Amino acid sequence: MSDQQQDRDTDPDDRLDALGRRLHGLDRTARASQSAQREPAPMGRALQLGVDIAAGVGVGAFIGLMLDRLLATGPWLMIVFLFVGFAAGVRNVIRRASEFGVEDEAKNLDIGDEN
Amino acid sequence: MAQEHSPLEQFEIHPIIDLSFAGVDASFTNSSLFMVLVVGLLTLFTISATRGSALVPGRGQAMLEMAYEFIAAMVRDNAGRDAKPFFPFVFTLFMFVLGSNVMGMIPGSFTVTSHIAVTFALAALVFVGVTLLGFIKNGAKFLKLFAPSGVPLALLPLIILIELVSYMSRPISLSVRLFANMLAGHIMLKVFAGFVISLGSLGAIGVAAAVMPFALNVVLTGLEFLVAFLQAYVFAILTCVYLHDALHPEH
Repeated sequence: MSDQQQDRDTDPDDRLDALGRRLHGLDRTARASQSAQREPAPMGRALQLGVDIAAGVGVGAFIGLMLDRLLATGPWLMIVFLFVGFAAGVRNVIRRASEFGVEDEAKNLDIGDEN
Repeated sequence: MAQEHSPLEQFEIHPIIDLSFAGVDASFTNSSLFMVLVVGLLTLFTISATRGSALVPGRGQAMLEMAYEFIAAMVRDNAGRDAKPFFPFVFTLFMFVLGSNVMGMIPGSFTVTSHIAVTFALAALVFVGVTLLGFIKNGAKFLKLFAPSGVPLALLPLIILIELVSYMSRPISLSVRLFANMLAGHIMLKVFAGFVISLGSLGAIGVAAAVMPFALNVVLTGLEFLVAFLQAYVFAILTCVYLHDALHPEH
């Protein structure tokens, strides 16, 4: 009995499933090689982190200034919120950096699976 | 000659049709013209690419399907499977930002995304939308986003304050990143192009020296295309991350 005849005898659903599995495997290998190319350069990552920290400080200073104007408390709230904004900026950077870490880990796992 | 053209001239806004509603200047400017152009071309492209919807796609259809799959995978991986209803929003956002960035690479055209007014409007749309979505989907539980679990009670007020400021800084970093990258890239291209002109007017040695900034400009043009794509990608992926936070604030 030839291979083709066997194919015809089996359930079409089973054959579809087998095809789906094969396509899925191909898709995964394609995606693994793609994500390696798509990854932003280290300098790009570093520049993005810079914007994150600056945005935190800027927003903190702005909130402090507005509160100072509202409550007439001199420069004090601005100074306090400048530090809070700095902390928020650092928080942004930590969050982003840990995302990078997770991405790298996921990629390593993916490649490990293929072997 | 070179002094007459400032590298910043390309970012100037000129009204084309003067309009004003209730004292507010709402003129149709060159910026608006290019926004309409980007949206029009994208619409034309998507409609013409999907009209045939052949089983074996042609060039346009293959390109569009690639973009579709790319964003669909991004939304699924970064925002979760239940974020599927927001795919059209992220797709539109990505295509608009990418379209305006690439449109700006055409010499003599206007880069819509090099103005913070445009990028901040987009970022504010994402910020307000995501915040509203978080409260609608989770109610008061959305506030858990600002109070991570496992923090000592004494530190909680400080942490909440820091998380709150961090949350508020999102639209700023989102918009500044896109606008600064586009602005800086286009200024750099113009400045090096200016070097070519001024060196070229210095005679034979000048022309020989002008090869260097010219070669650099060729490389920078390639880099700018990469930046145009990368910034659209970053904008879309951060929108997905924020959507994830709004749908699952406990993580």
